Amino acid sequence: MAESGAPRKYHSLEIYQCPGCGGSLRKNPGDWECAACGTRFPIRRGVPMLSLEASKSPGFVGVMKRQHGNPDEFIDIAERQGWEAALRAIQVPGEPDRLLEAVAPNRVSWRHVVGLQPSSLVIDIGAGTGGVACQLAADCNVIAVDRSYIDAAFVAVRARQSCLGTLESIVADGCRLPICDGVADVVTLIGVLEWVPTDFPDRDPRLSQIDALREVLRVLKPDGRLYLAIENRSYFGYYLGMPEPHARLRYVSLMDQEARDRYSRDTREQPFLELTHSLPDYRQLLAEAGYSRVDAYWLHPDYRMTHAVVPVDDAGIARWFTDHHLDPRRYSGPFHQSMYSFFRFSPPEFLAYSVRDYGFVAYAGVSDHHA
Amino acid sequence: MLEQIERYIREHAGSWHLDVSPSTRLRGLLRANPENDGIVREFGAGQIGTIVFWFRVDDRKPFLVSKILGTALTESAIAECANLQESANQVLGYRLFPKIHATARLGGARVVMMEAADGPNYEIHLSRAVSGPERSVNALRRVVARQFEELGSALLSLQAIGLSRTDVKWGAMAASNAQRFLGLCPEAGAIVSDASIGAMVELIDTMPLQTHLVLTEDHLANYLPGPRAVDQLVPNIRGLCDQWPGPVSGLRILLAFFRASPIREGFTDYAWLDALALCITEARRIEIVGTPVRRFLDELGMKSASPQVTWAFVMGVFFMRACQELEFYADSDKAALLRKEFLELAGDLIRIREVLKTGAEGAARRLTVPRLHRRHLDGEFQNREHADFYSFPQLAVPVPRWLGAVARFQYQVKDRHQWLYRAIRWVYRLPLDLLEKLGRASRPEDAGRS
Repeated sequence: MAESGAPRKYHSLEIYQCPGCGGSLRKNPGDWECAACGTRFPIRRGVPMLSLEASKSPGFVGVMKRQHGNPDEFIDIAERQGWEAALRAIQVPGEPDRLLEAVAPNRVSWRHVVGLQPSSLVIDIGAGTGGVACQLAADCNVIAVDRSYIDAAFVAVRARQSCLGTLESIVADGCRLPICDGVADVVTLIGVLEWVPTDFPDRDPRLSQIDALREVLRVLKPDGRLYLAIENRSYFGYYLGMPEPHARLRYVSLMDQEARDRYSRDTREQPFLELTHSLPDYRQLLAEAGYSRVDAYWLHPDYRMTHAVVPVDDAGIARWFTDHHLDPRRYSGPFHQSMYSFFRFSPPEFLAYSVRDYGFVAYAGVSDHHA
Repeated sequence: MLEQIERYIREHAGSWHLDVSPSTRLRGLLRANPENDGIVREFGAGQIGTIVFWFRVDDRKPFLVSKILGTALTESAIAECANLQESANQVLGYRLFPKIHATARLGGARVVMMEAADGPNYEIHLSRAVSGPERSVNALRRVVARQFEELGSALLSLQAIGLSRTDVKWGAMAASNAQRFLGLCPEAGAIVSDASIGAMVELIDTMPLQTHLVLTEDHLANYLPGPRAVDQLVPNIRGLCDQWPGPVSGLRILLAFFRASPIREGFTDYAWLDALALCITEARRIEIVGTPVRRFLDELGMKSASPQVTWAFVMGVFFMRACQELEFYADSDKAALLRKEFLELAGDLIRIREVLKTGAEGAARRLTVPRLHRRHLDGEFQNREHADFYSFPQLAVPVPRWLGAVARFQYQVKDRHQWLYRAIRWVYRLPLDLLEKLGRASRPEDAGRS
């Protein structure tokens, strides 16, 4: 990455390691090499490809770009005309505005709850177009990790054009992070954990998720924190027939594993691997992965554009929020009006378990603050 | 950041006379501004302001609010606003403005610690009366009457707080706002001529008004009860108070009230400007809003003003607000929608001004008489193309009222029969509490805590 010319605090190879054997890396012209096993990791357009397998993931940009030919062309546009022009070029009419999503400050409105310092190192796993990573890089040091080369290259271009010298973009697998133990202050998994099992279709999806969380725990400092944002399996809307957002099947998240797997195979000819959980299950999952303490938040209205981060541990706070902030204009139509009524008038004990998206701050060890 | 704020609160709460012992657990509810959804792109993260409501564990309402600001406001500006608000509260004898306890620089941001106000804000109350499951015409009537009464008495009280208390002719400022508006929306040049601006200035200058402490924000959502996300914290409050005559801030709120989606979209054909004009002339009775608005204008000191003069002030305030919004949203997709809306409104303002020249009878004959119709109150907002500042696009699906029957019943019970509500809650919470206790006992990580 030195070839980009921008000063980078975390550019040092000291914090990276071989994703295969954990050996230290050394720099060659055009690639990085593991000193222990000799595996070479090429650098494309200034982005280290620190993944053992060639990524099959098209990535966020790749999905949008698929129908428009050569993905590298997209990065060329970003470099020549600017990253904003490139996002505009792949904007599909009728879809949400990708450019606004990439710059909206509310993408990181949760950042106050994880305790960032200017010296913090944040690892954003599943960086996409850099909506989170680039905004956090204005306040601290960030490594943007994505399995997709196009996404990672795009974030690198965006960081370079925005003069974000504190941001490093790499291609890597979230389950085998090429990062040394105990270096990160904060790791973010935003809309990522549910997709992890799709890489391991033959394994128990829950175990795949626990392994991914353990891998994150490995790279966290003892006082580090994981920020996990994810959907709630028992969201009230699913009971009313709203399709599960990953599989796009109705009622599927409410079934047990065997039933939803069969249902998914029957309807879309693939197993149901996009596993989400309920509030107690997330706590259990994080505890099994080795996190010492978990704070749970309701992210309203969703984890992408968050307007409110409401603690759910104390049901009274969630009730106060629904009593004072919930606006019926956001809930139109019989379906949403029913949801609104539920949120306003249901017991707070139900409310905490039936919201749409959760944010969890999981502590690697007991922090001074909560000790 | 939350930890830093919490630490700061713990250290200083004693000097603010707040009950926070070292063992008290605090929880923060973080509220970000919807404008940060990329609608306004030039603002950096946090610059618009993020609010944290602080709760003591097991408290049912926040005891403190922290506002995380960008760098636009200086420490001295905040101190000046705080002093002014505090002296206003002392003169009034009640707390109109939230008390600002302290300002701190934490984690690279400026954080203001202020008193928490309880209760939903005006806009939430309005939208619930219009489109919540508890909606009804009577509920709306009650809400509108109460809000105007509160606003009117607050503004009346503010008139007693003179800063320079000079007589101001506001015409020149209104004219410069109108010219600025024409610069931002050149298409309006065909509608708003120099002659009409001149006539507006002439009418405004016939009525010199006194300056006093003004309410600087005109987002309806921020008045007056409720969790205040935006407040009187502005860079040059003394300058604003010297420039604006008192009634201008009241008219700004009035315009915001009618333009807020719960009211605007409740009127047939969105003819809310006609409704406002008829309220001013008292030519025809406008249901629900007519009487409260008229009383409010009287309290603003516009009792002696002719409808034409009042309307000239409304036009001046409109140009002022339009400029602010067009500049704020200049780079966003909303700007085009806004220009379209303001163009239509400017046309309506000029049309109504011509009608008002014909006197009250003429106005009653020639103005559309819009109605806040039960059908509109029962339905949802129809026009998705309309530029909307205070809400999100809505689906055009009429909702049968019976869908909210259970919720409405609960609401009414909660509202009127607290003892019954508590009894029902106790009964249905009993098994839940038991379940929760059993669940907690079976979870090893929680067993110790409980």
